[in-house]
Amino acid sequence: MRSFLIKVFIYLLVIFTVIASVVSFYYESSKFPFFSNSLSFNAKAKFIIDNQKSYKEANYFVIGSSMSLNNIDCNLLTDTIGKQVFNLSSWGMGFNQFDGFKIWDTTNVVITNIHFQDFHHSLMKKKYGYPYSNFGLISYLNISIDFGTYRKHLIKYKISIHNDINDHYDDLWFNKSGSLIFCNKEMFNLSEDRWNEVIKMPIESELSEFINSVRAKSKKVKKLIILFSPGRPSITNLQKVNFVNELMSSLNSVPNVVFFNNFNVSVFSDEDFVDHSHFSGQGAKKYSEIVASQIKSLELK
Amino acid sequence: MLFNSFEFLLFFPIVFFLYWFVFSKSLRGQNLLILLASYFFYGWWSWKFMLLLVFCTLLDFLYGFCVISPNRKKARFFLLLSIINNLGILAVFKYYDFFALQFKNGFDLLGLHTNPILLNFALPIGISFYTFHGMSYVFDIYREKQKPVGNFIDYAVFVSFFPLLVAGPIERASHLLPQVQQKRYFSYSQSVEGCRLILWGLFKKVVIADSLAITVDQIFQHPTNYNGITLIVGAIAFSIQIYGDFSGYSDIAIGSAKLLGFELLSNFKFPYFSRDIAEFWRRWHISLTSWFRDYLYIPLGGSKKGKFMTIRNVFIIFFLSGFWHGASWNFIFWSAIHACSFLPLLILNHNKSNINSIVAHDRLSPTIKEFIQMFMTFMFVTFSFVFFRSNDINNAFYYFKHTFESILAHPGQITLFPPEYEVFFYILPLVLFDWHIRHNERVLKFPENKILRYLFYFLFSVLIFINFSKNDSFIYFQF
Repeated sequence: MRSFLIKVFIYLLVIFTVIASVVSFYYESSKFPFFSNSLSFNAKAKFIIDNQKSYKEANYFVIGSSMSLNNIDCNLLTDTIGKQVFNLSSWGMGFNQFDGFKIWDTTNVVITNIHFQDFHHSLMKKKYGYPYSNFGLISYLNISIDFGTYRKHLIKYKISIHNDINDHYDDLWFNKSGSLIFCNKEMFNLSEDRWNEVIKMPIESELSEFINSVRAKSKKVKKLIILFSPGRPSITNLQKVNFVNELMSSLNSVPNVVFFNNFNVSVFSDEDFVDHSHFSGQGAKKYSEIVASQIKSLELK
Repeated sequence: MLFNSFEFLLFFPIVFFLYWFVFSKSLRGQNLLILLASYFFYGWWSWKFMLLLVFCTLLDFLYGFCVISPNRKKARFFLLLSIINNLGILAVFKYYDFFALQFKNGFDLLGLHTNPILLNFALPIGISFYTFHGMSYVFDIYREKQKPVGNFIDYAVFVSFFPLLVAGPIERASHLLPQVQQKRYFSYSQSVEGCRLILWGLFKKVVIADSLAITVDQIFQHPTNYNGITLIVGAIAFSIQIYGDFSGYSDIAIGSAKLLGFELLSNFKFPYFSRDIAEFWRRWHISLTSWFRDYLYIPLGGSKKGKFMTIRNVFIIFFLSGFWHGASWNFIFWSAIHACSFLPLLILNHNKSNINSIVAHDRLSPTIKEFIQMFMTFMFVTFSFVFFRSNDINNAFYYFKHTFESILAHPGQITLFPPEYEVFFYILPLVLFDWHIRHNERVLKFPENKILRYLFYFLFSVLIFINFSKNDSFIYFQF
C-alpha cells in the first residue's frame, strides 16, 4: 500500500507541475481571462488586452451594441476632439452589460449610441462556459478544472476569427481605437421582415430599465452622452420614434447626462447605410463628424 | 456524478482513503461506506431518483426470499411478479410515452383520434442497468445458482456499487455478491492495473470520444451541409466515438472497482477487430449480450429446439437488445439490421466459427483475408450506427440518401472536414494500442520499458487534461 501511494503521489506531483505549466502557457499566451458566447465580444476582449496602453490612457469611452461599434469611428473622434476615445462596444451588447468595466469613474466621459434594437433583451453572456473570477489564482483554478472548455473556446475563437469573419466580411477589423467600420456595402441585406420584427417588439420595459440604469450611472461619470442613431426615414415607425424621443428627452434633466436625438438628422442618403440602421464607411464618417462636433459643443475640459 | 468530472476526482480519493485506512478492518464498515458513497454518487445527480433506486433494491431483496420457496409454483409466481415490477418500472419511466404515441398513431390511421396522457418523465440515470441487476439476482435464486442474501447492505452494494451504477457493466449476483460478502485485501498489482485502466478509459472517453463528438454532432445535425464522403467520415467517427465513450466508461468502472478490491465483468473485447457480426456481438457490450443470453435466450430454448426456434430466439434477443437502448424505432431498426446480418451465419452454422480465437493470435498483423473480414464487419457496424445516432428513423434514411446522392452527383469531391479535426490524429494510437493488447483487454502494461511506459502515462494524462471539458457526459447515460 505504501509504495503504491508513494508512486501515485509522485506521479500526481509531476502531472500537477506539467498541468500548471500548460495552463500558464495557454493563459499567458492567449491572455483570455474568460469567454463569452459572442465572438464579437471575445474579439473585443482580445483587442483590449492587446491595446492596454491606449485603453488606460483613454478618458472617453464609447459603449453599446453595433450601433456604437459600427456607427461611431473613434479614430475620427480622437483626432477631432484631441482626446483618446476608446470603443468598447460589441455586437448585441446591452448598456447594462458594461457594469463590470473599469470606466465608471468621475474623470471619464461615456458615450453610447442607441437605436430601437437596443431595447430588446440581449442574448449575449459575458462569462460563458465556466466560472470566472477576477482573482488570478482562482481564475487559474477555474481554467485548470475545465481546461477543455477553455481550450475549445480558444480554438473556436481563432477558427471563427480566421474563417467565418475573414471569409464573410472583407476588412472587418477593429481600427486602433476599437471601432469596426464596414467597408463592404453589400454586407447586410435590407430585410423589411427583420426590421418590421424589430419595430413591432414591445420595448417599454427595457426602455424604462435603460433610463433607470442611465440615472444610476450618471453619478459615476463626468458626463454620460446618449445619442439616438439615425435610420432610414422610409422605414420609420413614427409613433414609436416619438414615444422614445419623449422619454429620452426627460434624460436631459438628469445631471451629467446629455441626450442628442440624431434620428431625424437629414444629411444621410441610402448610400450611407448598409441596412436600416448600420452605416457604411461613408455614413459612419459623416455621423462621427456630427458626433464629434456635438461633443465639442459640450466644452468638456 | 460523472467519472470525468472534478467532483469525482475529489470523491474517489476520499472514498479510497476511508475504505482502506478507516474501515479496512471491518467488512461491514467497508460495505456500508461503499453503499453510502454509491448513494451519494447517484444522489449528486438526483436525490429524488435515488429513492427510486432504493425502492427497486428493497423490492428485489424481498423477492429474493420469496423465489427460494420449495413450492415451485409459488416461487414462479414471485419470479413473475419481480419481472413485472422491474419491467413495469422501466416501462413507466422509459417506454410509456413511446407506446402511448404508437397507439395514438395506430388509432389515427384507423380514423380514431385519441389524446393519450404523456408522462414526460426524465429518464432516471442507470435505470436499465440497476433493474437488470435486480432481475439477475432474483433469477439466479430461482434457478438455485445463488442463495438469498440475508444482509440488506450487502445486497444493496451489489445493486448500487457506484463504479457500475449508471452504465454498467451489468453484473451477475453469482459473480459480484460473493466478492461483496468476502473480506477484501489491498493488492498492489490489482491497484496498478486499476490505475492503468482508469487512465486508458479516460483517454478513450475524454481525448477520443469527446473530441470526436464535436465533429459527429456537427455532421449529424446538418447532414445537408456536407458531401457524401464527409458523411461517411461522420459515420466512422461516430463508431469510434461510441466505442471510446462506452468502453472508456467501462474501463474506468472496472479500474475504480479494482482499486477497491473488486473484479467486474468485462464489457468490451476489441469489438472492431471482429471478423464477423457474431464475433462482434461476443465482444461488444458483453455484459448485456450475455445477460440476454443467460436469462432469456437459454430459457427460451436457445439453439436446442431446432433451426426455426433458434432463429426466433435470436430475433427476440436482438429486438429486445435494441429496445433496451431506447424507446425509439431507430434502435429497433438498428437491432433488426444486426439480427438479419446474423441470420446467414446462423443458417450456415458459421456463427461460432471465431468463438475461441483472437485475430492474428500468434502474428503481428492480420492476413489479407482477416483484414478484409474486419474491415467489412467494421463498415457494416458503422453504417448500422447511423440508425443508432440519428434522432429518428427518417433522419437516418435521409442521412443515407444524402450520402449516396452526393457521391453519385460529385464523385470526385473530397472530404470537407468540419473544423475540429485534430482528434483524427489520436485514433491511430487507439487502434495500434488496442491491436497490441488484443489478447487481454485488462493487461495494459505497455510498452515493456518502464521509462517509456511512464512517458506514455504522462502524455495520456496531459492529453486528458487538455481535452477535459465539464460539458461532456457519457452517451450511455441516456440508456
